[in-house]
Amino acid sequence: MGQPLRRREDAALLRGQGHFIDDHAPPGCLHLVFLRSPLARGRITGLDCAAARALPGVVAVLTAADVRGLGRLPVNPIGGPVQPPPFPILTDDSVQALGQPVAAVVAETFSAALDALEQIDLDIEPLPTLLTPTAALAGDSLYPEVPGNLAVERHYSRGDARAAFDAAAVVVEAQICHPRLAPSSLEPRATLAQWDATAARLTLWSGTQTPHRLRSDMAAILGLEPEQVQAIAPDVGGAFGLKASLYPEDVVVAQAARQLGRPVKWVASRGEELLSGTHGRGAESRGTLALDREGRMLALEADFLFPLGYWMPFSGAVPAWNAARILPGPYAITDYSVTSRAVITNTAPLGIYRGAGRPEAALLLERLVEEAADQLGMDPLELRRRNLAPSQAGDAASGRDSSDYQALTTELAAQSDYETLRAEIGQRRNRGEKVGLGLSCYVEPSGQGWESARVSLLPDGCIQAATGSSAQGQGRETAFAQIVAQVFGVTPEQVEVLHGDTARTPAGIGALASRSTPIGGSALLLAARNSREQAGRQAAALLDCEPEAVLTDEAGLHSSDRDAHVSWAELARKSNDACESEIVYEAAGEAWGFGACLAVATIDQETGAARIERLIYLDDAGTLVNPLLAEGQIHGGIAQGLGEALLERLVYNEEGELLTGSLMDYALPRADDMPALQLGHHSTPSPCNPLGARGLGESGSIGAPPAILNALLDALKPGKLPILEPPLSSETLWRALRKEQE
Amino acid sequence: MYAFEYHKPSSVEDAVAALSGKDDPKIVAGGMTLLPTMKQRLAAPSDLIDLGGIAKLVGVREDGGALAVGAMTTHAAVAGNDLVKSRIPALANLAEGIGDPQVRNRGTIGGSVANADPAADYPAGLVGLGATVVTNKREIAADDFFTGLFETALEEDELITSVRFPVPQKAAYAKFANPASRYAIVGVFVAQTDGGIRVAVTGAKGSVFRVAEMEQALSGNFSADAVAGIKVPADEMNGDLHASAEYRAHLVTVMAKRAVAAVG
Ligand SMILES: Cc1cc2nc3c(=O)[nH]c(=O)nc-3n(C[C@H](O)[C@H](O)[C@H](O)COP(=O)(O)OP(=O)(O)OC[C@H]3O[C@@H](n4cnc5c(N)ncnc54)[C@H](O)[C@@H]3O)c2cc1C
Repeated sequence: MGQPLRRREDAALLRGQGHFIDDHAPPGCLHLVFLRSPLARGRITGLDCAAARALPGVVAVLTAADVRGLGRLPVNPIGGPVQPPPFPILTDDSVQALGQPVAAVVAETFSAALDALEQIDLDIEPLPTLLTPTAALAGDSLYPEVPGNLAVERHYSRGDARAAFDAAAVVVEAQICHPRLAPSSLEPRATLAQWDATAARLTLWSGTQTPHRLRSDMAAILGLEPEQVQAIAPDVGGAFGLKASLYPEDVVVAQAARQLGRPVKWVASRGEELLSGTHGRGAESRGTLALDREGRMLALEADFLFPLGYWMPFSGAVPAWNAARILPGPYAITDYSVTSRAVITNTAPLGIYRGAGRPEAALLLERLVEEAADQLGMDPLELRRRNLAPSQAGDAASGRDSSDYQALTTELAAQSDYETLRAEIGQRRNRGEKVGLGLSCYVEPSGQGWESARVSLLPDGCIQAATGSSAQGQGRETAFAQIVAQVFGVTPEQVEVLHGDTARTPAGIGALASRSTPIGGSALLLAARNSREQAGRQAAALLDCEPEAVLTDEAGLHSSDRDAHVSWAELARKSNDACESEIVYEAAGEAWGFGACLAVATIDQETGAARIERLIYLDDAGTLVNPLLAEGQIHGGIAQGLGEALLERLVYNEEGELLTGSLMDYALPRADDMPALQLGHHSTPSPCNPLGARGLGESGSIGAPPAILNALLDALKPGKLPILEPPLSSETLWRALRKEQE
Repeated sequence: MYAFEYHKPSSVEDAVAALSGKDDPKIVAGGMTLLPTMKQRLAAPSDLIDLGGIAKLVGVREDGGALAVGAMTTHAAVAGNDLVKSRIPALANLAEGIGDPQVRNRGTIGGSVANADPAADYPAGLVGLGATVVTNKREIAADDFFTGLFETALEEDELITSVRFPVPQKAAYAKFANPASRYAIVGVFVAQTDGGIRVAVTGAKGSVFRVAEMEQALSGNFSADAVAGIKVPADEMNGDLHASAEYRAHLVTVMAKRAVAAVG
């Protein structure tokens, strides 16, 4: 453990030997494609599939009639009640969003399915749309179940924020329109379903982040017992929250397989992903921060309004909840009042895109801090240091986590040579350059609850580690093998990791919320310890020594004097009881990752183009199982954070058409958009789990955007953007510069 | 993609013959534009005539003091070609800045020029250098070749065989790339040629255009300052998600300045 081991997954993946959903083609597999609504809202006045059904190669065209009476997807009522809209599978009366599935063609070949799609006659009478959360809050109710379109509302408060504001010397404000983002995993969503009529069993292959929940949700929706469903997530080409929930599309694929008795596969195109995959962010936020003259933060008020889209995935309420509950972030602010609401809109659904509410909260808070420093004429790093919560030891018994925020800002100052850097930037500015420095501090809560693990010694001497926590390309097999290998004293190569198949792994939650290493990894650690102890006891009998005296290494088990040996395979064969432990581990509390970021940015005064010159990112994820993988997670998170700050935005026009329907218009960050990164880790072990790990998968996308945007807004000075609407495109910055010159 | 007949002629004559008598034939070069369009079912040619089998259409050669670039020469090949790099480095630089490595290794000059995308880079290079488009039938001056949005002077049964670039005294290309597609939001090609100074702009309007006022100003005083005050009217510019007409008009001046500065 702790070694920067290379990913065992890569040898196959880099050679093109991975097995993603589209690589699976059982004999007789049919292809399914969706007819999607071309309008954002309307009433269906005609749907005629006869010509499509008559085409050669077409096996079936499914419509709402084929899925009527099926169940609903549950929505996680996290942090309070939720009024979810209905779960639409296929519709024949009204459409509530562009891209909503109306019908599905199943054909012998993909192109026959596409031919048939063109033969379907669909008439829709348009209705006025509610695209933004503000419009939806003021508009008519899209569903009777959700009065006023308000599906989620959360309040978090402490003390008396109002009174503190009245008494404050300085009050600053910030207003942000967070861009709507597309998670953009390399592999799009895909599902393959096969129904075994004799056994009445459904097998589902899906790029899901949550195979066990996919299994139980699908069973409930189709009216099956969970035992009748097996879900398999093979190699998954990234997910970022896009694949956290079951989709209406998955149900249609499964239903088609059940009706037709043949395997059915659907693989989304990039266009379908931009149109109908879950989006991220998109909230409108406002905040005010009150301080005294010395820069002590007294009170915080914040308000978030999230768009939900027209249906809610399982974790649809999470962003609104997360944004509210993590404030006041790392700062010691005693009085606060935070409100977060989420409303149904005529758009694609909102999911838990990397960060899921945390980036929105961090951006709002860090904008306020920067504004406050400006108003007070105080250095922004100093202002942060005055207000960061003091370090805490935490406590396993009560599940309270430890933290040490100050240590990171101290190191950030050292690594950046802060005083000198500030002075240099001042000089460059005096010479007329538009250059700025931005900071951020952030927290990253990484999940609560349980995860499971089973660790067994196999007859061939291998150690098998099965986890309910799945993988989506993060190198989890490598990291999990390291955890188990350390306990057994063997090499990671001797550990086989099983994940993603509900028939071969114990039930689990999945790869979400930066929780897999802290909770899933800890479950494996504990199961490995139990199993190692059993091995020790059984070896003691064979080696004729005390169990405590048994030593292990990659060759096997030895008596402490090293006179007697038994190999792992021998032990597995000779011992009467299996050396196996299966456990369900419930985390004592939620582990919170945290960190700090510094960015230096310039603006080209003629074109407005932004350039990030430098980015220092310090992160504390507690115990690091594999620093190389940790770094990779931070890299990716920062890249997506940079995308959010500078490039990415899904845009609907007023008619509800998607203007960013392809990657020719939706700008993803590329290698040459990235600055050289200066990364550093602290490891304050968390008392909340036996590994001492904290989340880190979402960290980069939480901490990077505020630092980058703060740097650009610093560079812009004295220019201002009263409402911050990332991404800060070159035209936006050019306009702001021009206004300043006027 | 709809079904089509595939042809792979090995000479220009055979290619021209293959074009005749078909319902809706299309030439395919690198396929970088045509194939995605067909995959999205936005184009449905009856026949595809692949120029990939005609060796004669590939490569760069000297042609009476000019450089003739074969229609099937890829962007990467132009960018890496020694003749181009030594004689017209601005053209190598332009080709190097097109799309991404995959696109540069498949996309061809003939395909780009025939496609006449308003945001493509080559049209600025052709018009900026006063190049000549050579077809199986005739020679067309670049100034007359690009006639509008995705429109050229090419006739139905006409195919580009090469593009002939006169070697300028000096030239440079400055491009402001679209952050998503990396096509030009605005690209300005400036050249000092035997026929005078040429300033050609791509990305900003429906089709590539020259800025006479800048050409005149530069003839008197070849410096970035000479064009700094020259604005093109915003009302004729393209406006989209990535850049409004007003911003594009502004960028024309900025990129012209940069190209002039790069010419030196
Ligand atoms: C992701 C991406 C990014 C890109 N970025 C840029 C960029 O930054 N700048 C830029 O300029 N371009 C860019 N392109 C376009 C690319 O450079 C190609 O030049 C362009 O796609 C056409 O070239 P092709 O050889 O692929 O032509 P094809 O796609 O094969 O053909 C295009 C059209 O030209 C016709 N045609 C082809 N050859 C001939 C010929 N010899 N005679 C007559 N007609 C012919 C075809 O019939 C077709 O109508 C990009 C493309 C992609 C996919």
